[in-house]
Amino acid sequence: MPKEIDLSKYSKLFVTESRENLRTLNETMIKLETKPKDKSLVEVMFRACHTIKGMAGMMNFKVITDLAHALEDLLNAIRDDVVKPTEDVAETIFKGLDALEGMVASVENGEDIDETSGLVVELRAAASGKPGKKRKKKRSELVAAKEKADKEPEPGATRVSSVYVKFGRRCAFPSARAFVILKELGKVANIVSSVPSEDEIDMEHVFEEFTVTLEPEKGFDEVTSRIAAMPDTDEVRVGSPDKPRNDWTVVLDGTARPAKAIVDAPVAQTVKVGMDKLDELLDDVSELVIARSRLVERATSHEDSSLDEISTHIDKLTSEIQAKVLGIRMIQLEAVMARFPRMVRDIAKNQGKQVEFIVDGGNIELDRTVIDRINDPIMHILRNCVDHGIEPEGERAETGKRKRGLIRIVASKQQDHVLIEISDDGRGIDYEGIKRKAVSKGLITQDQGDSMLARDLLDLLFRSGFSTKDDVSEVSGRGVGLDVVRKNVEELGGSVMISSSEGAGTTFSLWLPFTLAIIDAMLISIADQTYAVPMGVIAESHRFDSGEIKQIRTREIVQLRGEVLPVIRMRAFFGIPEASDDDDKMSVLVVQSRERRAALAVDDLMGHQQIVVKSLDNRLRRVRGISGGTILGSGKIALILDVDSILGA
Amino acid sequence: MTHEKGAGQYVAFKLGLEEFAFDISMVREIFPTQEITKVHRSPTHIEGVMNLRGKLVTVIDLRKRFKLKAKDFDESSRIIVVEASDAPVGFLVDEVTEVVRMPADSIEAVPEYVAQEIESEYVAGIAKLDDRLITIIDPLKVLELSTDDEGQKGGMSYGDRAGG
Repeated sequence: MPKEIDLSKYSKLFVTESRENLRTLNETMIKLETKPKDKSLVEVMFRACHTIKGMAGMMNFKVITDLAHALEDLLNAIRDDVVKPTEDVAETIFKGLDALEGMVASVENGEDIDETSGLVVELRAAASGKPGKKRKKKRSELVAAKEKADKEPEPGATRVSSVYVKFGRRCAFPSARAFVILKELGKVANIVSSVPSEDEIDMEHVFEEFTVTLEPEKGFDEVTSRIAAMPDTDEVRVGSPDKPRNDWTVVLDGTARPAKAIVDAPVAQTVKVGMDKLDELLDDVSELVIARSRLVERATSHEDSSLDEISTHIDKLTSEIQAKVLGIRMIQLEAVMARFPRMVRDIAKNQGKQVEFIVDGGNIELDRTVIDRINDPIMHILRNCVDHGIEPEGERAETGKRKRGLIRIVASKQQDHVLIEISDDGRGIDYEGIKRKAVSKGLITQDQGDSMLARDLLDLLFRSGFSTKDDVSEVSGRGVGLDVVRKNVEELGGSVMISSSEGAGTTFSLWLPFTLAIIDAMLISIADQTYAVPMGVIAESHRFDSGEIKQIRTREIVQLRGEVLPVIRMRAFFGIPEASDDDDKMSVLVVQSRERRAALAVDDLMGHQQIVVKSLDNRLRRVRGISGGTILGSGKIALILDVDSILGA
Repeated sequence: MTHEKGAGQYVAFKLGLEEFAFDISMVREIFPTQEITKVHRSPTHIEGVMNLRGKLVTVIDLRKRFKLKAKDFDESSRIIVVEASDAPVGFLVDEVTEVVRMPADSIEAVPEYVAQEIESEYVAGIAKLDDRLITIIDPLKVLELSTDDEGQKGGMSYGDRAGG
């Protein structure tokens, strides 16, 4: 008998593979809604569903197996024209997918999986269509045929039999698969031997073929067909070990499976690595970079040519490693975008609107950290588009527009930034509406409103608590507004812009850095300590004569090309006494965050440099004026000024 | 691993003349003092941040935390790094004396009168070892209880903050 193996070891594999398949299912279902007659779409969904079922079966997740099975039956019925993919049916399928999604999450978190027998019944009912004899019959015929096929190679009670499994070339963990197969077979048969043997499998050798000799018992056929449904199995045969394999019964013939045939393209050799490992690697590299500069410093002061040579070599290698590690952290925008089509569909449906959704540029790569943090802002903008942008069908018809609204996300590379544009073809920004709202909320006076330019009115949208829709609906509510969008994007060192033309639509443009881990910064000093200020918030640097500093009531101000800027003395902000040396010049950084601008008075400007951003722990996260830190080439720490909180103080 | 039932190993250190100890299982590493970068407007007991292999680690001055007289650090000063729930945290102490094994029966609960200088909530016990008295401190408790106190001079108070 196979030794007890811990299936939980493989649940990670199950979670990733199921998620991939669920994504395919969601995406394809949305397509199917617009092309209900395209049977190839149903085929794709069926295969994905079948894979999930097979994997869940192997892992003994009965609830998932049952649900996937019911879903598969429904898809089968659609494929066979027994059921039409109507709106209701689509809704049921989406419900099923959501439930599966939740179950997979439970597996990931090691929680118990909730029963969903109600949903299974619902899916079954949908699969049988409305009571109609023809359909029912057809379905039962199908089932009967399937059962018959399953029963075909009836094995004798104690006859020795062999199971041959050939793994696909893409199979990443043949040993994991083999163990699962052994375990499954062990339940319904007495295992005699296997090639490779259990010990060999344990050594995690790479192999493609796996043969098990056993004495089958009841339920054996069911297990072999489940093995055939596993991902990565290309071929499964069952037969007597005395006969040549070609004479064995074919349970699965890889060449007949279209899915495998299609993917049988050259395969990139890849390894999956956890993000935490990459974070650790980046930390180590940062440390290496610092050690490198120490070495270089030492080497140059020693006039030892061979030491110099080594240090130059290490210097070069370190730079290469750093660039490569940062490169590895880049992931495709697709990773977040994949969720949007479904979300847009749901919101639109909820509001009785029809929306076509187009995504372009999903292959653009950004640092994982950036990707993680733009998800919510984009989601919010999309909600805004459906909610405020796209008009109800009737209104669109009146203005001669297509019934169906259009929302597009287009991502593109722009020099050192990524531009993500989210646009709709809706009614555009209602400037008068904004003005009315802002006045009624007391944000501006009527006179101010009347003299405001369109651009300034758009800026009002980013003020906190601003929402032009009177009724806070389910999607645009929760107190999250465009102010949060702007804040999130600016925290990443990016910016947001809106452009709009009345009646023709609105475009939100997000400018984002490729990577968050490294930003451009100006190094400054305050009381002999070095600080970094992100270049994104700096408008310019300037030196003022002390005579230029004016006093308005209790506040100091300076004027720069006519603009009046409040002076914030950083020493005072940090509670450090002003320097006693009577330098009659004052070094200033003109900074801006949201609509506010100010002149930060610092001791010295030290120059511009790229820095690796490090976070502070919980104990220091709420300290005003500081948002993080970085480690300089010397190994010293430079804290990063949080200009937003300094201006807010 | 400990063999005697109830005996544990402790990292003993000094603040002034008093001897304290952390359970060794909570100690990640011990460093001679290195450069600590001051963070203005942070709570006074926070000495600053240090560079621990590329990570920024908060350093807490235990003297200040326990409201003892401040002392500049010197050759024998050490930073004991403890793994808190969110991140490693350094504790600045005058000197690390040794790693001691203390049988459970040498450790007593906190008598009221001992908790004079420091608040007793952090104290996990008092150990008598020959003629020494060692106060066993739970570093995680220290962090937990450091939630709200003085923001440093310089304008605004910094409000309360998560302690771990």
